[in-house]
Amino acid sequence: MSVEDEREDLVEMLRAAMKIELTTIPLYATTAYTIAEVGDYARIDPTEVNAEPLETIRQVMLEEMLHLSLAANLLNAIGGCVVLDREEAIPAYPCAILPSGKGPVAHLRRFSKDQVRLFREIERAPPNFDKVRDGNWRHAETIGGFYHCVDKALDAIVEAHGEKVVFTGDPAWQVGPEHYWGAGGEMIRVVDHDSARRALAMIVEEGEGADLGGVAGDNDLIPGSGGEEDIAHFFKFNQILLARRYAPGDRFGQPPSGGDLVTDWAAVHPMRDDPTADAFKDLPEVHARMLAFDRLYSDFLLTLHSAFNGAPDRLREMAPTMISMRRAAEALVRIPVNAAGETAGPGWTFRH
Amino acid sequence: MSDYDAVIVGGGISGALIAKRLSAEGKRVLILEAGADDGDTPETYRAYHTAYQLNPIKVPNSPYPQNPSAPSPTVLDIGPISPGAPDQAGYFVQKGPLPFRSDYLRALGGTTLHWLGTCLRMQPRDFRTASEFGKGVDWPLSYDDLAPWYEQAEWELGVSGDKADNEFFGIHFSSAYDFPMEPIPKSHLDRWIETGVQGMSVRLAGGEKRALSVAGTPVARNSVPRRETYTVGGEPAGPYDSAGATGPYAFQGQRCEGNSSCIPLCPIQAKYNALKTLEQARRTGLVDVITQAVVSKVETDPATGRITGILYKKYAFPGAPVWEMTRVEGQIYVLAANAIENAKLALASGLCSGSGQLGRNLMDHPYVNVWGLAPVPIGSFRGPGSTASIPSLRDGDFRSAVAPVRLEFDNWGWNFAANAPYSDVTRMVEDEGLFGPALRHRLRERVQRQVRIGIMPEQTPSRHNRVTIDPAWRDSLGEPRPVIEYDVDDYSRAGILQGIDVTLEMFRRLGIENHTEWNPEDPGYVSLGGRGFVYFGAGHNAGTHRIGTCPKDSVTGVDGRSWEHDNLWLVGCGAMPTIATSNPTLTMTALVLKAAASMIPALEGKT
Amino acid sequence: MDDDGFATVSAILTGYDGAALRATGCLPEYRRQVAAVAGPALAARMVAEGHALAALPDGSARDAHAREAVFADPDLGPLARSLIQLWYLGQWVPMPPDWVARNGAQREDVAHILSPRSYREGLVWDAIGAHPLGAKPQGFGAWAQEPPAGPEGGS
Repeated sequence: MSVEDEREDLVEMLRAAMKIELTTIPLYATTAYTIAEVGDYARIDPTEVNAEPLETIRQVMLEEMLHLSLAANLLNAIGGCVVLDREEAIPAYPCAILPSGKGPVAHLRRFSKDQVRLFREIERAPPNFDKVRDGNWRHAETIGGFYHCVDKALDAIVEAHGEKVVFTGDPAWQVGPEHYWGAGGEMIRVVDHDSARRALAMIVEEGEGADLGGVAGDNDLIPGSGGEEDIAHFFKFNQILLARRYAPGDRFGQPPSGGDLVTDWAAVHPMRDDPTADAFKDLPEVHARMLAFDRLYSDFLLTLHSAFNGAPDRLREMAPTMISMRRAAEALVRIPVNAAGETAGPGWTFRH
Repeated sequence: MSDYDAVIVGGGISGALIAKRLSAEGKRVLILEAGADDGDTPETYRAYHTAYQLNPIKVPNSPYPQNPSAPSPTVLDIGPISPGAPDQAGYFVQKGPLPFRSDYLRALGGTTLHWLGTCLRMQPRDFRTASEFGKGVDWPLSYDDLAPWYEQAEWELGVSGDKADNEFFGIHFSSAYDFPMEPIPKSHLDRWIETGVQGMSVRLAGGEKRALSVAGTPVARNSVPRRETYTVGGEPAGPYDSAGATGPYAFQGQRCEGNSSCIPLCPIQAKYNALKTLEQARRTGLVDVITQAVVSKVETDPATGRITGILYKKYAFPGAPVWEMTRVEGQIYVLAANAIENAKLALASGLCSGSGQLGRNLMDHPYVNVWGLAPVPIGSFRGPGSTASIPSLRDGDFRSAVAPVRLEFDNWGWNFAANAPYSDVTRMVEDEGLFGPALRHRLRERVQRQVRIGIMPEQTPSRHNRVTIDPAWRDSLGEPRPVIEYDVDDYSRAGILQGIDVTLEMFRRLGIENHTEWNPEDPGYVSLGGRGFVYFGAGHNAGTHRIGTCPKDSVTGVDGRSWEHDNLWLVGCGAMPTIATSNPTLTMTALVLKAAASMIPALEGKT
Repeated sequence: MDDDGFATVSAILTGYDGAALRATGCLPEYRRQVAAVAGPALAARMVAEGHALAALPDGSARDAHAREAVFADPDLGPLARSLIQLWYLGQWVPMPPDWVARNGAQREDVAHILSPRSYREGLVWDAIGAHPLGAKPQGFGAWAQEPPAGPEGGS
């Protein structure tokens, strides 16, 4: 294959990667925001219990934002072009996470054990890489398998044509740590094969810890914690289900050894599954709020689009934008829409 | 054989920093904290947040449970004082003539739980006000002597700041140095004022014309860490690793989210508090912390003056009617509590009596509000309490006659000045009869334009402003309550009036309609030359055990080591000979780190 | 007094629509508070006035009716003013003595913030274009942005 054919294939792959990461963000966010917050549900003696699962899911979601930006860096580094301003590029729920259509299906649903099990499935390391041994990302059935293909394709194109030919992107378009600074993993500028591999490793290790031999730790030190290691998403979700925290040294298949992580599974706003604005046309006030949320989300995507297309400084505006979306979503999930008490929720529909 | 190398009284910022520094050198440290450890876990820290939300009166100590066994003063205590009839409503016994209006918090983490986080350096001339202006006293060290310690302090607390924005009146930074984090963005209000006062000059006392400028405030609040390496206090450092919340929530608070409640509580701990340093210190395994331990007496060997042990009362729970008296020994002892508590304990133990200065020279920044309505919306009630100020009146030859002031911008409208937005709602609904969309619109229209400027004058040390103890007044554990005598002199009042005049001139230029009202019935109402105003406390309690060059007029040497008790240090804001116009914590931290460095050789028998 | 009736009268008095009020999650809690202080008869009058007001076009006719039938009424007036402040501030303002003399004292009729949520959901914060001090932060650097645009009609 010519370098341009290979590049085209890799560009397509990385666009798919961005879509995978983008799919998980609304998915995790919606569920997190249906959790009744501290003091939200106990009038007299506010219980503290649900801050833990809420914070855990929110942290994962923020790391998915990091992954999305890392994927954008990879894409820009090889001379591809990020597209987030078109309906086709944006997931519409429910949808499969992976391009193969196999594996978990993402539904926007309230916080429940089943939903957290779904999250855990999404972040589960593949039992083996056999199914993707042909290197075809279109057949991958897990995120880990998918990124395995990306890794292989990257190696192949670099080996065949050399770094200089592959990494042709404008370094000024790269998102750096100064643009994106939150927590849990660092933003990596992709300018060569080495940085590209580190970026990919960051995504995979934070997700399922696949390359790390099944330990919970994800190799990232928690800032300011005195050298404590963060744990991978799979373990973060599993600890909610097991009601106990993992320590970084805990292993897959063994019980977590950390402190209690208590959840009140009943303290949840009963959001209707996969809400969309169109379903609430008969409730004009609710419909208007749903559309307002979609506008916020669309603005968010358009800002990301411009940030990844040569204006990385715009990522600095993202914190207030993401928080406005959170506030709007939290408001929606408290509005009852039927006699059963089910509530509205964010629809995450791109409307340009 | 002593139990510990060092026994520290007070689990706040000073004690935590010393524990961290000493334990890093392998020393065993005990911290005795009078208050409870209510904020030590994420769950209990969150309970502070819940208490804050449920408390109808939101003052600095609102989130923190009242502890009858180790009471804290609160700003709500202030009542009238008349001769012979001190105000005893709160924890303090106030003899006046004016009320001391500041508080502090006796709990693990101390008053840093509710501080704003401001980290201003003092200016070079602030260290020698006696020789320059004939006011106050000179410090036993200069700006340049303290500069490396300022650098370390800024890195210990995690200060976000911009060097260029803070180089005025002789403050300078080493070229190999920078703040560990990028500056906190200025608020929209800051920039609106900055634009408006550009090119504006004012006439100061003595006739000098002075241009006004706006400076972003360096602050111990997480922003974006700088990725470079620097020379900090002579040592290579960086890239900086910011510290978020304590415990398993280290991910939280890595960066300020704009909770707009630095005072009284940062819900995510993006603002520095001493719990972070305590956590770092305790990781060494060499630091023990005992809370609910009220130190009752520091024992002295009368022959040598050396401290031989500390007696403390350990109570089982706040309000418990009984306690267990326990004695502990160390090689060295450090009083690291609030300036008022340090003085109280030292007085009660008969320490440091030689200079006659112990407990004297109590200082604060008598803080005056001026407020008005801007002609346009300015985005009030968003972001950290204050992000910028006008430093232009902080120095000048006028200081021989009139106190310097800092003019601090408030991002929270008239919250402090007039309890906005609560008072706005009450007035509009109860008095103006507004409801529905009209109420909404009126609230937006009014509150969005609220501007408040705080005037923070230097208060010079006076032997009459002091903390004493009196057997007649004791707390529930039988410990003495601080008896306070306090006044605000004409020098500070003149400085405040100059600050008010400049602020009002600025209001006129910016089109801000003045709404300031000072109630003559307020306990903080004072006047000069027929012009009255109300002062508040700034919580900057300082000066009760000042450092100096000579045992005759200071309580300790420059490193906080007692002149009379070889193995005793007194540290904290009490060490400051003068208070200048900067919030004292950063300077205090620099002094504390310098003091800690002097303890190591002492522990190793070298000094 | 059911949630819908309470929402209707609350919407008229606060200037926020029913969805906005429900989105606070505080509506049932506030309805219970108002019902407990008002008692069934007064609560029913309140709801009836709410429906009457909602039937009038937005504007001076509704304003005039509200002032005459609600705010000038010695029983409904204080209740309505406390209800508005409950929605805006999350705290209950007790009834004046003459109201209590006529309608009786209720143990719920004391000044208090109903819950941490009611503090956070006070409408005043949205009305002034900000967020509750100490909650619902707007994100790093939000304070540097332009002041918020004027309030929108619906929510």
